[in-house]
Amino acid sequence: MIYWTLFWEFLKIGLVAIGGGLATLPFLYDLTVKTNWFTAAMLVDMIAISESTPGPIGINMATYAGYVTASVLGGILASLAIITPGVILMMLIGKAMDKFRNSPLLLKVFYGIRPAVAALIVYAAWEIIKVTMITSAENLWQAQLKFPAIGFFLLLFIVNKRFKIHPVLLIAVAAITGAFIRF
Amino acid sequence: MNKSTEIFISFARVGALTFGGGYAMLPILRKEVIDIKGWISEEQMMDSYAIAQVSPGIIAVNTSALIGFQLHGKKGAVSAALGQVFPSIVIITLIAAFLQQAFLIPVVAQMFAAIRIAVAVLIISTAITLLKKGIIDLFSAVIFSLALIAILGFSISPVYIVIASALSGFFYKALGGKRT
Repeated sequence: MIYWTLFWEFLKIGLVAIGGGLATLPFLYDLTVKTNWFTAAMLVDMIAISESTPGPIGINMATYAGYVTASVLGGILASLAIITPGVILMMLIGKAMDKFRNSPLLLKVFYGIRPAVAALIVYAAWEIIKVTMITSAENLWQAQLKFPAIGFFLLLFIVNKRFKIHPVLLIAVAAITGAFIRF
Repeated sequence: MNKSTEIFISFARVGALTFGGGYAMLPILRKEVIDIKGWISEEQMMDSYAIAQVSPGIIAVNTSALIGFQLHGKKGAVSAALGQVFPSIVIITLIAAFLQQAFLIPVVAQMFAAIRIAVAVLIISTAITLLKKGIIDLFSAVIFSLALIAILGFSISPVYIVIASALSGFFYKALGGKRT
């Protein structure tokens, strides 16, 4: 039965894909080879749409792939399947954390992790700066700055810092501006 | 309101408002669960995020599930995870069914280009906050620098970076680093 196979395949992806974002992609490619559910070309469209709609990319991809394979129920099943292993694991870890909440061991571990997480986020910030504010080139030093985008960035940054507005309002303002101006 | 329902709604809001992957979620998540609800601390959010990062599955969903668990046990974890994915399932199903062509319209593409700039602002603001929280002494500054070099210079997977930094934090503290 297609629903059961679909659920099982996405459960497996949820169990092995580590790293978030497009970490599920190689496994979805694998599905294009193993099954006739969708093609590799369709995957590219899925990525574009998943990245430009709200929600985690992995879930968007799963819903899309599931929908293409087995309609509405397929999309729901694929998404639920892909999150199941992680959610169960988080319950186990959460329970362990409760037990060891103030254990010196856990505090030591997190003492090292926090600066690393900060570094990962700085990296993410850099990646998005590259995509939005620098025109792509072979080498970084050949790349050119997109001044309109940088100007808009600075404007939004100051507004955000100064007025502490809700992130969504900032996104809405950007979307409306984008309808009239090309960055 | 029932606690599970409250958690579901909060995380559905986060899911509906996050454009892009796990990192893009943090500014929205912070606003919702720290600034508005006051459910957890900044440190708890970072720790949950770090654990989610090295676990299998979808980072945003795992982060939500772990925070949900800390709020309301297993029910909280399930409510948070389902809330997080609910908007995605609805939106993507609608797009897959009716709207695929809309993304080819130039003005829509243009709007998304501008939205990405706003997302950059949000991520950088979060990065600044987390830098202040994460770098508290010389040793954490060293871990930060090494982690940044590892990922920027050598494209090492975040999974290994988080594991390595956890180990180094542990050994540093265990070997008497407390005196510093």
